[in-house]
Amino acid sequence: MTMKKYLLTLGAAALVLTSCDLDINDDPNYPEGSTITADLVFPSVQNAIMATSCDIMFNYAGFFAQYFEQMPEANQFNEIANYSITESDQTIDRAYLQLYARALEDIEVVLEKVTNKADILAATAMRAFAFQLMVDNTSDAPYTEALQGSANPQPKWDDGKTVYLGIIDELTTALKAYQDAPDAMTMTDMMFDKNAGQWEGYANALLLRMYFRMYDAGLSEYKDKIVALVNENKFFKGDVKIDIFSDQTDNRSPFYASYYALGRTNHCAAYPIISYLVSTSDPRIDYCFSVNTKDGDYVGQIPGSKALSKTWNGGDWKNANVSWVNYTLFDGSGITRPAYLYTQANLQFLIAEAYLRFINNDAAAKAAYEAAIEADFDTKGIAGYDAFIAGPKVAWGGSNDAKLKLIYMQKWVALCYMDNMESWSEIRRTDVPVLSNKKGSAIFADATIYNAGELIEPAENGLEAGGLMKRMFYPKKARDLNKNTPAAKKGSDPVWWDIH
Amino acid sequence: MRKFLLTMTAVLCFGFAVAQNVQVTGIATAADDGSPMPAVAVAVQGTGRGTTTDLDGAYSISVPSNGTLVFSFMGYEDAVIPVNGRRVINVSLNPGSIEIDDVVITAMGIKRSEKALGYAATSINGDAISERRSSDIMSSIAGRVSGVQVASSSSDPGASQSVIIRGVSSLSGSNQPLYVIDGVPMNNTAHYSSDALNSGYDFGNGANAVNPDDVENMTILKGAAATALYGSRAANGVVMITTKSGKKGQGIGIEYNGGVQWSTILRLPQMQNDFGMGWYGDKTDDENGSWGPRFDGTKQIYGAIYNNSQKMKPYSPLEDNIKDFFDIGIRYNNSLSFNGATDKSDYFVSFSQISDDGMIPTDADSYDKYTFSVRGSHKVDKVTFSTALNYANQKNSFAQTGQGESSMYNAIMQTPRDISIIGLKDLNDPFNTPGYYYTPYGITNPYWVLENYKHEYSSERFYGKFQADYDILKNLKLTYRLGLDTEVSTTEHGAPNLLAMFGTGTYNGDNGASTFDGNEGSYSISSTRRMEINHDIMMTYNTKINDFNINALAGFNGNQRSAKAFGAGITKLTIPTWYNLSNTTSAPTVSQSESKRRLMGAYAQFEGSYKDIVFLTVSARNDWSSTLPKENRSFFYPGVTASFVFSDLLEDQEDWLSLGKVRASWGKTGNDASPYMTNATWAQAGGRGYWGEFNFPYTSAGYNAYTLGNVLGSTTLSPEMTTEYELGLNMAFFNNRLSFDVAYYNRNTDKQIYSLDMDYATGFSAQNINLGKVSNKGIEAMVSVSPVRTDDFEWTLTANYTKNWSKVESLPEDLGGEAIIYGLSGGAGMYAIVGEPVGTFKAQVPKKSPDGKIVVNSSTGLPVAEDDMQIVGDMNYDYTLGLSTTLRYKSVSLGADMDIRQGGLMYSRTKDITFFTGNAIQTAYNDRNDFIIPNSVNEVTDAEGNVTYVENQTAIGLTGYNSKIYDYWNGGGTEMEGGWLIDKSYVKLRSVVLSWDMPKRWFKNIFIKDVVMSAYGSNLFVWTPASNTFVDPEMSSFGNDLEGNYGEWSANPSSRHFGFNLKFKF
Repeated sequence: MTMKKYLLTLGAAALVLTSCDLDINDDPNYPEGSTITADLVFPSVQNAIMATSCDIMFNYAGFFAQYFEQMPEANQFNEIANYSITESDQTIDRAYLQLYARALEDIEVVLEKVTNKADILAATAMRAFAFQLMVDNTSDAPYTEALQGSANPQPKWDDGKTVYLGIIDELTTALKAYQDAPDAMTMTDMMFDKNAGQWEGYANALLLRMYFRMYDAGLSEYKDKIVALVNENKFFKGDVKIDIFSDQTDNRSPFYASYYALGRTNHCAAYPIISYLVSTSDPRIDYCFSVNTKDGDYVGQIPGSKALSKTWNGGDWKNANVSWVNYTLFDGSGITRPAYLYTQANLQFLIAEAYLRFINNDAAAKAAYEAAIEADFDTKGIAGYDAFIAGPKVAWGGSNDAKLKLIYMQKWVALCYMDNMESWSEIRRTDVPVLSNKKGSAIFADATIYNAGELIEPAENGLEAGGLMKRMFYPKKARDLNKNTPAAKKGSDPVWWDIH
Repeated sequence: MRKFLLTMTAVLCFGFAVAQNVQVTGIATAADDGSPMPAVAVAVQGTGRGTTTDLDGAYSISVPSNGTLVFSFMGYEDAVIPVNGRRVINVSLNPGSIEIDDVVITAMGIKRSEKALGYAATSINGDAISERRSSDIMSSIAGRVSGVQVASSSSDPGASQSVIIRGVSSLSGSNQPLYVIDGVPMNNTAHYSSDALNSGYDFGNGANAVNPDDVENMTILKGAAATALYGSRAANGVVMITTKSGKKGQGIGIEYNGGVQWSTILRLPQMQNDFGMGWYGDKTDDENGSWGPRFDGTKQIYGAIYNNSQKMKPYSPLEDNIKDFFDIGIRYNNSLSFNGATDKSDYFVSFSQISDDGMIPTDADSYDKYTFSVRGSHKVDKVTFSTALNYANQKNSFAQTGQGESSMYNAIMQTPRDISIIGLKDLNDPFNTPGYYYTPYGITNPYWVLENYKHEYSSERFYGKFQADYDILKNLKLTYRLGLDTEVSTTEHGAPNLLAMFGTGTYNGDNGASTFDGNEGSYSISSTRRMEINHDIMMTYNTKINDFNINALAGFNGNQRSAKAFGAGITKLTIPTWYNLSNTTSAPTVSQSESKRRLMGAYAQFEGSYKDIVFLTVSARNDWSSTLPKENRSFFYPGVTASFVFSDLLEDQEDWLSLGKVRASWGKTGNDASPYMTNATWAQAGGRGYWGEFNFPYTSAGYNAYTLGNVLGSTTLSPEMTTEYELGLNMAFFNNRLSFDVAYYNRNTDKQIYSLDMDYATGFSAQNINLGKVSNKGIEAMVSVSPVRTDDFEWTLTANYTKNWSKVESLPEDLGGEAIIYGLSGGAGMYAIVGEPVGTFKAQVPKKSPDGKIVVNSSTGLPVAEDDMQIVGDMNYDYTLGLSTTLRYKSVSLGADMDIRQGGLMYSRTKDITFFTGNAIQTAYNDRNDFIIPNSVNEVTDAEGNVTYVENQTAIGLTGYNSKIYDYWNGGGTEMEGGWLIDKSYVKLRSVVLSWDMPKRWFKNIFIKDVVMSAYGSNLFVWTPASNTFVDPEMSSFGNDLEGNYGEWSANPSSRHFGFNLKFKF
């Protein structure tokens, strides 16, 4: 072989080993865009929203609704328990990511791909709920300029009213389009298993609770819309939930996955909810709370008092002193417990409120009130509804104001550990349970000065203005990356609809 | 013949005109083994004349009788010998230490006289690398080369080395140099944890596969003009390694190197010895800290109850508690090589083994490496075939770092000062198991952790080349080189099922805290296969026209890098500590990933010189990269360098000036993107809660889903461009007894390719874009002096100094002029901020009154934080200084290196956690009696909003209602969280090497040629500023690149090494 041939052979061998094609930059780790259908994307939307309202918000709202308190010997949620969180704690940043970059962005994809009216309704309902969650937390939210990618890297923040009006308009439009020409739903659906009627009912229920908040904001015209919706009575049946969880990695139920996995030592019961459940002899107490290990009693901790209870108690204040949050409810572990996005109880309480306040139909209000509590007992799998509803402190009766308070108080009970975020919003809208005028230290010293179920200002309260948490802060991410983010607000500043 | 006569006449005439010429002959031998040295350059100083020695080391040259001969050979020190009328001059050349050698290997393996270089290049002899006996090639040069910052990110055996040349220029890409072994680029991927906070580990980087004993020479090319031919991957400099090849006439050609090395603890935090187990000033039975009462020596009951019994301890401090925990680590290494050569071929075969079990008890920190290399060349007619085949096999175990229960050091840092750590060693004692451990608060027995958790890495690596050089004409050569680098690696992580073992029926499982809930064990294994193929086809031409020397080359380079990885993981281990994928009741999660990139490049270089006095090089390269959008795929970058040896123009310079050279260069280097940054992706969907993850598929419900990826691809990405100019001066005096080399460089890296965070409201979390510009300006200087140089005794001193000014020149307006590099959620962050150095730290700091007093809250007595985090400093050293000295008396030599680094900040979680636990010596301040923060004021705002300051009267105390001393220290003291950023200055005694080259006459008549015994130590001492009582600042937890500068997150402590080594040559 001559030298030339050697080299030619070598060159040929070399070319076999590497090709010169440079068009190889399509990521092989992901499917091609052309294979992605709306059907493949919609469950991602539902999953991201579930992770937000049933997990991230579920936790802090549980503290703000005064269900949860920080366990005496743990420190994980100190800043939440005593309202000393700030923007820099990034408490809402994870929710902000899930809502916008996961759920809402994927809804954009879905809405681009579908023409079916039921599919559009479902996607629009999820979109409305996502924006509603954001507004109920931060009052303002990027809406009109949101979700435009690099075309608008710094979207402006719209005020809450604009967002509410916008999503109400979107939702009513989608509803009407569906009602005019009902289609069968085609997208894979983890909430209603493609039952378009349920989506219609869910959309109406979302509108109902937004209308109540609009009304609270002083927009009295929404009273008629509430009445119309309730009279039409096209709401979802059962609970709106995602029931897909199993004991597999990253497939476990939200509260279990996020909080149990951190150790069961972080949450204990707060004083207000325990005092109320005990005072009404509510059997649902066991759904959420356990007796303390020290004395076998139900003991809630005064909000924000973890560091002080020891002094008040004149000695130890340990985990053993307080009732734990029951992490293992539902299936003995909590692993497969469904995630609740809108409970039937919640819906029925709203209906009861509408009948009582706006339709003047006491019988229907009573029926809805009792249906709400019964639905909650059923969902929680707790026996003893009949005995409970006959109890003097919860039985329907008294003045309209007293009845309204009953609705609100029982809603507070029913939403406990079911939809904490909604509970915190409803506390802010209704101002029930009321805030006790007594200090935590005084109540600790003498429980008789306290009316069971009243909220208690945290003993260590990070809010300069005092009182309760009225909003969540803007996300740090938005503060850092978007100069259109509004100036920082205080936790004591109410959201736009919370003016009464 | 006629030509010859003419030449002779000219020479004779010239000779008569100046001085009488004499014909000098002699033999050049190597001082280290006495062997004759062929190809030594013999030059008549001050003239362009010279010759080389033949195969027997012999030479003959005509030289003025009062002239001076200079003998030089790569890797050896020059011998400068005045003739003084002698006719025979035999010379013995000393192997060089780190010194600028006369011959430097430049890009593409081209050998050049040092004089010809218009840029900074440092060449290091292989012996200087191997004498430090480090297990990798880079750590032995730490502090010894100006402009090159080398740091071991961990002292755990086998961990990665960080090498940053001339500062950090890339904000998101790699800042590590390109390693080129025998002309072939090497995969230098570092294998470290992406979750250093919770589970830190570091299994080293790719270049660790090289056996230091195989290295003949290492050259570091720093500037853009020097590296341009290597293309875009060389933007951060090049470490070029030439391995040993077979040599003729050196005995049988067998060399053995073997030694043993011990390692011991170098640096531990200083702890207080006044207060013990407890919290808020009270005794407790189960706290993981020393906030208890003052020690009183009484017997105390503590911890869990087992079988109605509890442990007792004296309530007194155990001062050496932590030190006693660590063992003496031991390492054995052996390497053996054979080599030989004939006129037409040569071969070199080597085998090496390193087995290292570090100072952490058990073999949880261990490293085993085997390398096997075969190299050879054979010349057939006009073609030389050469090959290098290297195999490396390694296995690492790493004792996990970070904040979790599975971090041994985290547990130690949280141990009260009165609990004996070595008392925890017996794992058969129930009190020493997690079930009955004295505290349930997030830590457990460090011995138990080391025994039961697993972090293991193993890899098999094959790399090498095939090369053919074809001498088409005398001056024209064609080279083809095929390089291949493949690696198959496996990573395993295992955590035991604590719930199954201790969840019920134990004290900690049943009582109180439910420590083990959700802690059901996990095991994952992943396997990665990487492959890199590199082709180079290159034509070189050189010629001499009168006084002009011309070298030209042109070539083509094709490179493909690909990787494929598969992984599987399980949770809920059925058998609690058995790590196998089948050991579970739930389905395993599986994952796969792959990537591939290609780069094509064409390059050319022209070098011209006049009379070896003026040198000019022009180079250019064009790359085509697969990772960039089609329109921007092709990018071009040129470079030009010049040098002028002015000393050759001066008359009589040989008396005092040996060399004087100025140099200048300008060059560009482009850098492409990572693969797949241009397009949108569709990922399998998942959600993230506060802590938990919700990922498709939901196997039991039967759902799968996809989501639009959160990182927005860019179809307009263009290459990152580095432009650099450099000016340098080197001079040598008095026969090279004194020399210096200074350089100034200015490097700008523009259009950084960055995955830039976006407000989530855009629908995305980041977008890939080109942004911003970073500059690094610096001075590098090296001074070398030999105060004493006689035949028997020699003393040399070398200092190298580097000062780098890093600056972020621009970032998009939209970002408010800053981008985060790494930060803790809500805590201190490392940023790029316009106008500031790269890696500027922002952290929580206390509010101060206008006259600088700390504002404290009047009700708590604790400092009040500024609303926003403030700049507290940056990660960069103000300067680094390396000092080396060598003393040689006959065949005994003693060398030492000092590494001095001044300035810069790093995060120390070791400080944070020892403040939290009240173990740090600072927390015993004021004997923990109530105190008012010195010089503190309260802020008073009146009704009009006017702010005034009044002297603070609120004291903080340890006990009772006002238990704020703990809060004070846990919050970082008066510096608040900014206090976790500590001064990372240090002075280290890097190495001391004592070696004795045994006199050859002792074994003159046996087959042994040479025996060298050495004793050495490395990292022997470290001195830090008084404020750093916590860590060895070299430790880092965040990998070996830019993020690694963030600091340490309960990194394992550093170690010192010392050992003995024996080298035999046969």
